[in-house]
Amino acid sequence: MVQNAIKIMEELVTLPESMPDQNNHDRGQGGVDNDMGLGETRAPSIASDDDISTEANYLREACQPLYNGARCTKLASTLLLMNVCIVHGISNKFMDELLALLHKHLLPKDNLLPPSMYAAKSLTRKVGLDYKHIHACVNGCILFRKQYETLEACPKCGATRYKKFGTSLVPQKVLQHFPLIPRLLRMYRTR
Amino acid sequence: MTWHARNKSTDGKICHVPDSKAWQHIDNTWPDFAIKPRNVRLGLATDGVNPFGDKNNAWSTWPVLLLIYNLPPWLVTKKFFMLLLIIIPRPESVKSANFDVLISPLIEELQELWEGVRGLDILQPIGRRQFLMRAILMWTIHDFPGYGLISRCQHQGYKACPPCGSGTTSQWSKELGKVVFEGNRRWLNRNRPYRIHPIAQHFNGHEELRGRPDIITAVEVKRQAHATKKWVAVGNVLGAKGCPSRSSGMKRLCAFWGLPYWEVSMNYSAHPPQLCYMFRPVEF
Repeated sequence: MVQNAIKIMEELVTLPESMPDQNNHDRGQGGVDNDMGLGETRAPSIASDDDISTEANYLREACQPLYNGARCTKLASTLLLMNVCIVHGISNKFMDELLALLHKHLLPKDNLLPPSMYAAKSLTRKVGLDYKHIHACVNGCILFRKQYETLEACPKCGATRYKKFGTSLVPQKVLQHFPLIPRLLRMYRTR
Repeated sequence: MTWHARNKSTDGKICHVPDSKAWQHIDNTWPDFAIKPRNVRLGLATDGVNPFGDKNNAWSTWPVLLLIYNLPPWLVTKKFFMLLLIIIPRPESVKSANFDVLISPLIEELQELWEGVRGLDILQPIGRRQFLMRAILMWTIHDFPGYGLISRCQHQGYKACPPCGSGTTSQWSKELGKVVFEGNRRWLNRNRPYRIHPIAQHFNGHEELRGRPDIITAVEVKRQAHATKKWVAVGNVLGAKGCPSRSSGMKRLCAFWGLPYWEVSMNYSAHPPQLCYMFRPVEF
């Protein structure tokens, strides 16, 4: 299954030049990529006459070739690396060092690969591949958002929002929410 | 994303999801929604999974997925096109009371989507790209315990059949040590020999002369849920002896009733379960 996923990703991450493109008359410069992973964005392009969001600008930036003459874009290579590390359960620290190694020593000097895990994550976050952390009451009474945003304990059952972990406070329960509306909109913004 | 509009069955046979009765019910109820094929039709699927199967048997995480039925049917259930919406983390299994709270971000987004969101369609020529995207949640997909959890109707005990509701025929079987449901012959045609003697004695020994149970409408469900709410508000325990939910089978209105279209779709759901219906869960 993992092999299969990698194969599909490799198909998706080739540069736009190698893809047959029937109607590129209204396609923005270099605004083309794939980003596998969540699977809903494929070859996005934003027309010049439409209002261009900041997300689209980031996407355009992320779709530059990794280095001069590379087969992969910056975004695609980052996602490929992140995916393979997550599939095999590799720690973030390893990922951090791997990216630094590739960026500094192995790839050509002009490469655009994010040098750290933090940079890689902020790159994918900027193009919209993001999710929200919502703290929840440990008993599931409420979500700590809107009017409960700043509370430290659940107003219904009194359970604390955080637990002490050494010196730091860790939220007891975190709900991961992947926003739906931008993803549906992205399906129409892509080809 | 507009595949469904171009590929409706022309010979009256059901070939794909767009030919189903639930789909057509939406088309008939909201023609302004149906006339725009770019409006998104969604199905929600959820179940408990245990990512640590060999280490901890009690763990249960609930991913909530959405399927987009605008896509061609061979892509709808593919990994790349299923949208992971929410991951509900829990060391223990989800309680139905909590589930509504935990999916509330999703409900809010669906409400917004029903009103309409401004979108861009780049497949259209320049100048005609802006459109108002709306979305409807058509049905939910889960197993039977999940059905009880999501729709908040009784799925255990004596009134555990959602289409029959308060008319469920059941009794305690001493030999089997569990509740048995023996009203299934109600769904047969009137003239079937299974309903009458001599074959009837191979079932529970009685002839079955009743017809199908009445359709449970949204108004009915609301009334039942309200009765249970009143019972609980007095200070009684939900599901205790004398609780209306034990006879009606309805505990509470689920979070999906917060969607403006859910009531209309619910009206359609209360039909016999042999066909594909709105709001009728598909059991795997």
